[in-house]
Amino acid sequence: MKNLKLKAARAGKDLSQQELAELVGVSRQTISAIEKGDYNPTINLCIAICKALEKTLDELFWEESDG
Amino acid sequence: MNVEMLAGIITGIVLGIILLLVVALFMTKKGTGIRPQYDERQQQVRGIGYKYAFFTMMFYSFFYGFLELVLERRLADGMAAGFIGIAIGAGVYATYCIWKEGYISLNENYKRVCIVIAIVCIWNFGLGIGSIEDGKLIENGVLTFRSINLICGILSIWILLQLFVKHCLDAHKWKEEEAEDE
Repeated sequence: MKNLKLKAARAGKDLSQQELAELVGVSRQTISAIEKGDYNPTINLCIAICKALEKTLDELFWEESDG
Repeated sequence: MNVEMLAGIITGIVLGIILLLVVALFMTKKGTGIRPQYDERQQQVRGIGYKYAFFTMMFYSFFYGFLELVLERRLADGMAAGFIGIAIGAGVYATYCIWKEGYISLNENYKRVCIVIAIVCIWNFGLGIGSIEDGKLIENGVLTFRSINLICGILSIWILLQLFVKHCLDAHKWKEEEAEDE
């Protein structure tokens, strides 16, 4: 499942995938894979991304259930 | 094989091992700046790559042994047969890592990696072609250890080609993603 919340938060900070990747110490492809839903990051990387984007884990990674 | 030749081979192997150990020690030492660093996704990719390479080498070992048993003749000497297995395993590993974006580390540069592989490729092909010209690549229908350079050259070209194709495809994909962002 695509992580549109992460993509929106990154765009809100006016950061490119490369810039966010450098901030959290991963490759651009890893950020791209997380946004596309192709890779599930560890909690450590989630926290690093949240800190870089000044968001909480809930705001970026919590998926609301349908029912 | 005469004594001089054997001494030359042993000296070459010992020097190679020493060089590898020195490079490995230098690369694994923190703070040298050349120790490859991979992020968590890349490490995962590389782990899966190793698994595929391991199973490929297992299959190759079985298949090669079986083939010699069926044909009732030697196809390659021990060193050549072993090295073909290593090259196939390394090829599978590199292929998987390149296409899953785990081959080039965070602190490595695409161009630098390609240049190093190209040098390895040219060097090995040069030596390999020399062996072909000497007519010592195949002796009595058996592939000899002199084929190692040629195998290494083929592996290098395979890796280089994939790096290039992947790089071209990525450049196109990245442009599309950037346009989507805007």
